[in-house]
Amino acid sequence: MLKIKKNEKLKVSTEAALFFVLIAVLFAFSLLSEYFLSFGNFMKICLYSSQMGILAGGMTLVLLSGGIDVSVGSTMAFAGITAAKVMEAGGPWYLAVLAGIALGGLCGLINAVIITRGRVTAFITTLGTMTIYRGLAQICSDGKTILISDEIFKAMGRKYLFRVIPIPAVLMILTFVIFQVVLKYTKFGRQVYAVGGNEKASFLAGIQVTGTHTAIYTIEGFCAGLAGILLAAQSGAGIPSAAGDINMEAISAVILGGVSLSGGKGKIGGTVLGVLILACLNNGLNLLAVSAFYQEVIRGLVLILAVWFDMMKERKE
Amino acid sequence: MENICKSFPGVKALDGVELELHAGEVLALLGENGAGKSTLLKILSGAYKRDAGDIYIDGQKADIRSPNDAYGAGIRIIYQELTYIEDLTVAENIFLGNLFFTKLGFVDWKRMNREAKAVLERIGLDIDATRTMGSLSVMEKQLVEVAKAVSKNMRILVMDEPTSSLNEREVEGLARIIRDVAGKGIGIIFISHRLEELFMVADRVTVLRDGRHIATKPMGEVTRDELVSMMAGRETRELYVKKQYLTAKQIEERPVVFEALGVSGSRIRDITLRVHAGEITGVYGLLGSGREEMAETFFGIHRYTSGSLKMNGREIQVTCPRDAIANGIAYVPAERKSESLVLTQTVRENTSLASLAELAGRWGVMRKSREKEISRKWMKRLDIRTPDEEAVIEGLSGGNQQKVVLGRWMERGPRLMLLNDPTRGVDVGAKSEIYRIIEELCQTDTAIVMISSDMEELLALSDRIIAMSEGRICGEVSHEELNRQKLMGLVVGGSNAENKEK
Repeated sequence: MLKIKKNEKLKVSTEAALFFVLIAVLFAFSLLSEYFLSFGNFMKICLYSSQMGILAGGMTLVLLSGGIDVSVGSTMAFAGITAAKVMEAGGPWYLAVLAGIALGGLCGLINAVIITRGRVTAFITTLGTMTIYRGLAQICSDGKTILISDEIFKAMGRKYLFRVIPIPAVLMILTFVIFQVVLKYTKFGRQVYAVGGNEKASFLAGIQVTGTHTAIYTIEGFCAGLAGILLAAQSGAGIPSAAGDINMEAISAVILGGVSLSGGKGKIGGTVLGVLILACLNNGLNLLAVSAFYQEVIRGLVLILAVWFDMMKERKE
Repeated sequence: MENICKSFPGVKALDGVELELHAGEVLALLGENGAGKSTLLKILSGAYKRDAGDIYIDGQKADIRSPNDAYGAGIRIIYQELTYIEDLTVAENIFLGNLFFTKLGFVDWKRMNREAKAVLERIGLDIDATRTMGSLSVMEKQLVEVAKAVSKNMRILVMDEPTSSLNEREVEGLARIIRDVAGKGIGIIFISHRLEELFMVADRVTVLRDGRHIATKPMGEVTRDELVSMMAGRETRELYVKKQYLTAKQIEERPVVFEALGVSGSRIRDITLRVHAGEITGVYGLLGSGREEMAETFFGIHRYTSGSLKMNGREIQVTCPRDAIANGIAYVPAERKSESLVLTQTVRENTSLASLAELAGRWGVMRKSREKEISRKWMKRLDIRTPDEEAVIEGLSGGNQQKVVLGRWMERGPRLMLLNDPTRGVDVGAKSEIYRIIEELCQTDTAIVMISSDMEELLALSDRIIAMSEGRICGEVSHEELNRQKLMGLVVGGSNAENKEK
């Protein structure tokens, strides 16, 4: 399919292959549905994938460092409830936004402290906090949905910037750009890759391993907070039971994007493609009126196939 | 075993080695680290494939290609690192892999415990088979391993340093049991660095050196000193010789860079060491002598519980590698792949790993052109052979990888450089290049502490050598009076002296 220079083939071909898959998906759905291939529909795809995309951006850092965070869905719900509560108490929309995002960061920081200080593995820690944060969201809201009446707040999740591009999509793109710059050009980005690639060697080279991990989980917490705000704005309410499996979707997108689960390898570009592929699949299958149950099966299959394909390729090399 | 040969890339690990083991005898296998003992064992156990040579068991040619073959041929090996499962009972450990089952498919505990008891009794052991492995002492665990090996059609039993963590009384007990087992017509190969106990347990001794068979003699016909000189050898290879060594007096005259005063930790005891500018202090010691732990403590990997460290006369606090680096200490670990390199990253990224803060500009953005420049500088100065600085480091040879690690630290201009087996797994050509680099480092008045399991290397580079044993410094030799026998005597003697103290 593509001839690439030997020492670069690993990096380039993962993304190139993903791009090819994306094109194939786009092409297939364009043939199957007359509504699929339009600018308006593409913007819709971006709108509906933005929360997952923002999570996936932060999740890329988490997986690159060799960790995982399954608590982000609960954090989202918790952040949404917090924002709704602030507004219910008469607070202005911007305070609600800040409170929601700050809470997300706090949730991430708690994950980080348990993982780094308590030396509990990332999966177990976030599995625990996943239910804890969900429970706290339920407690704060008494298990009920809190309606939001602030129009400016709600607009964030629904309105289009310049009537062209949805605000959540703008935020998602912004997140991707920031992470791309951070990972590629900054010292922190290098620490993320180094710690994920070889934690012990990084420690012995004087890198602040604990600090790096802490920053990563906190950043992912902020991402979840932001996604939670968007979710609340979009649905016009803080819903304690919302965002049930978006954490898995985000992790799927990142893995699909070629980020190694063992850490140290992968790029934001891959994650962007992973998010787009999953989002197009969702949208296309919806347009074709495929039942949601079948969609879940298909999404799972795509993930397994993608990872399998990637592994086969690496083994050949 | 006849004419066994085995080569690894760049090293000939075994060169025509032979070994003869009689039924019912205990044969001691002796040699310093890297002499080829473990390689020979791994060939016998089927873990490595031999390049040439034959193995005969009971006069029959045995075709051992895998651990399964070896097992089938009646060969049992007890490694230094015991392989048991803490939480299972003694009986379960003994019959691991072939547990007894009742007709219904449940584990037949009664029968298993009964059989286990019988096995233990066969080697004269009185251990309750229903206790968990974790609750046993090291000695008991060791013996259960013997029992486990004895339990099935065994012809040959190999024990790799079974006594390294036992005290003298336990060693005697183990020796008795080994003699008992041998008395049942089983051939036993026994490896140990403690010469004294070999005289206690072994019938004959085979000495290896540099992958060659040196001698096989009955224990009664050799003295301890003869064994030491056989292990150490007389001739030295001219791999590399330093231009000029410092005499003890010259060392004294130089400024002290680094001092450790009475430093003790979990694995080291009362280490006092002064390292001078431009001096190479070699550290010799057997595995487990604390040589590695000493360097790791200086670098902040382990905490020290008492004593103090000084750099240029000023006391320093070192609680983590970061502190050590900030105080001008650098450390090159022995395990290159797991402790030095980020294999997924490029030569450039690996070179700057320890200098990220220095290479970051405003907003924490890396100054990439500066980074490239530095990477290229070391590629040139250390003659690192790589297509370019953007090549992934995994693809480089061991020697070139190690040079990247050296460049990483030299960029920081360290005052004290700790080297742990800097040429492990490096081919001969790269070895002498690394020696040249180390010497150049000396010219810049960096103090160097070099740990090595390769005695030639220590002799060729060190201005003086300290010997370590059981976590202590047990001797010091300046270059003028250096020779292999003396060194070997020091570490072996050291551990013997320790034993007598007990």
